[in-house]
Amino acid sequence: MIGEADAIWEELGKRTPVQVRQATFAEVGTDLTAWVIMGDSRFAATFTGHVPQVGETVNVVSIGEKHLMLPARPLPGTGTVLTVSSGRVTVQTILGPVSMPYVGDAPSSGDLVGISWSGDPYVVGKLSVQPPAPDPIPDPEAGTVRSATFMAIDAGSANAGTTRWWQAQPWASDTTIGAWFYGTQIKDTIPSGATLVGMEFYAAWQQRQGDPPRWGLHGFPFKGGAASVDGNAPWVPVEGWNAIPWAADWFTALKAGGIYYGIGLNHGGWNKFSSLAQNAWSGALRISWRA
Amino acid sequence: MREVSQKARDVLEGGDYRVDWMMDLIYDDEPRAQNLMVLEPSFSWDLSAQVQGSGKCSVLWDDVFGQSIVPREIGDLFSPFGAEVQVDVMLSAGAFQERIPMGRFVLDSVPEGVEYAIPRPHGGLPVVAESRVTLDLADYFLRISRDTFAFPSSPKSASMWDEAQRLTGLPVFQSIPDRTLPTNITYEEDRLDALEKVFGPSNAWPALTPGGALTALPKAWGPPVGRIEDVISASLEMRSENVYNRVVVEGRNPDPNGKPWIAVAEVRDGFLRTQNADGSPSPVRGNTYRYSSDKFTSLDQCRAYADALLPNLARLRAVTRTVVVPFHPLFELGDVCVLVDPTRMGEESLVRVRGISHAGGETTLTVEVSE
Repeated sequence: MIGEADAIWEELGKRTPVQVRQATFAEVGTDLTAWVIMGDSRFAATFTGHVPQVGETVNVVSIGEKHLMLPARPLPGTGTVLTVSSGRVTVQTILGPVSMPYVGDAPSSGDLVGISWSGDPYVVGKLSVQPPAPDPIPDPEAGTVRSATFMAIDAGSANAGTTRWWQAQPWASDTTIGAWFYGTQIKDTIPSGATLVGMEFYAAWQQRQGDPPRWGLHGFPFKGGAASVDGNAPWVPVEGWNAIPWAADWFTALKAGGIYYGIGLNHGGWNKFSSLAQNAWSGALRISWRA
Repeated sequence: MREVSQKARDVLEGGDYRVDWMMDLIYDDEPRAQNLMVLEPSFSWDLSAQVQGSGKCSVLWDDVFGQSIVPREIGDLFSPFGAEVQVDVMLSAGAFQERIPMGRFVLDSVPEGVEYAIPRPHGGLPVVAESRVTLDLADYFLRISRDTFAFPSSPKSASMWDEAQRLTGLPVFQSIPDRTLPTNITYEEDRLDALEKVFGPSNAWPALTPGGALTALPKAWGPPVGRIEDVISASLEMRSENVYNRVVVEGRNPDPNGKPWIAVAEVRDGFLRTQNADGSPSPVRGNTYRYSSDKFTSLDQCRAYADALLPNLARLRAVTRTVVVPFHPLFELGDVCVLVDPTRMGEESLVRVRGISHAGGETTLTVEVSE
């Protein structure tokens, strides 16, 4: 009994596998079986109302051992006549122009006609009135705000114009240039068409002395090259997150990449910020944008 | 290998250094507690899992205010709702100190929180002298996989990287070139499955950088990036499951009047052949791997993907080795390394890291052996 109960529980826990695959309709078999071809296999499926043309691509919905054949394309019930010639009309539908015969009198170009699709399609006849066009429905997902926090991957100081980053703390002093490096992540993350919502900088201080540090952008994704920073705007951020005063300019420059990749200190006072070993958040940027 | 300075590499090579596991507790991008000492760290990464990184560790806290860190309500310091931790290894040797990021994790659960309180000398509420929490951690993909789509959803961007960013909300490092995706498809419920399929046609897995940014890991082997030396043990394992010799790739033809997109690739010679030259069944017979995705844009792309998948699946995970080395913080998933085999007189072979676990003073690597 226990074995049976186990078997029943196991069966109940199983999900019936469901798959939707594409196949080619081949022919109608005896007992109204639909024969379809998928890869190098020819197998029987069940009709679900629609009768495709031979050679038409169909969707086969496999639910466990049952295979249901469904149309693989939309079958619009109406279309507009483009041309009429020798017993056939070309009808403009959402599928594009389709050529088919018609019932009764020949419709004329520009007529809205009804179409029957099962088996070979044909035009049923002209409709009495043109239905009015519906109002467009707005996209609920358009223009959402996205945000990401970019941690500095490296930081340090070098004497102005030299390549030796001898100090792990970013310093703004008379002789040194300080910098935070972010790799290519800002450019990689923010699409070029994005518009700025907000941009903040995480300041982790070690020493404040003298004039305010002067801020700018530098062109290095990683440490390397002769230390230089463009721009020298004085700014004294508070410890922690700060809205950047020149957010719009920096956002435009950093999301484009190519020229500027990170934030630097262009002299000013004797101010020191934490190295990444002291505080991993030093120099982190929090940017939100609308894409 | 993790990106560190040359000096840190030299220090690790030299062998005379000190390692401390540290942790920053983060809530809403705000560091709430920094440089916490991590006790009993045990962290592992597995390339074959969906949520690749996981870890367990404990944190001990005592302060002059007699505060406890044991979470009792949602919103407490270590309560596992929205809290993240950045786990780093601090490498120090003399005056040299460098932070090596190991991974960004989310708090999954706090299985054990203990407080030790002592009575005040003059009565009143007892003072917490020391509190300790054990943390179960999982990488950021856990949060992404739990955040399922509320409604069926379609891609909003034709750019692979832009779409991956939208799905995860993480910063991105573009490690492979961008690719155009079809937008007339619908995702299944799981965001992580969707992410895997976004990267699928480019033959890459989604991965996280140690700082918690999103990147892609190519399935193809790259050039070796490091050596595995000082091996303590390196046992070999061979198994037949997960080895396939036939691949069927199905795409969806957007042209409703077009032919179905089905591509089949088979191994036709060697020990893993599906059939003999005369068409009779081969000794191993067939084992079919099925991949279907709406993200292909042509039948040629399906065929190319089937052809690219087959050589990987026809040997993937067939031969793996479990390599134990003294603690080494730099290995990352997907690293191709030169293994120096201690039991075969230092013979060198090429391997790829598929699993890493750090516990105690040892690092255990599960590596896939090349052909």
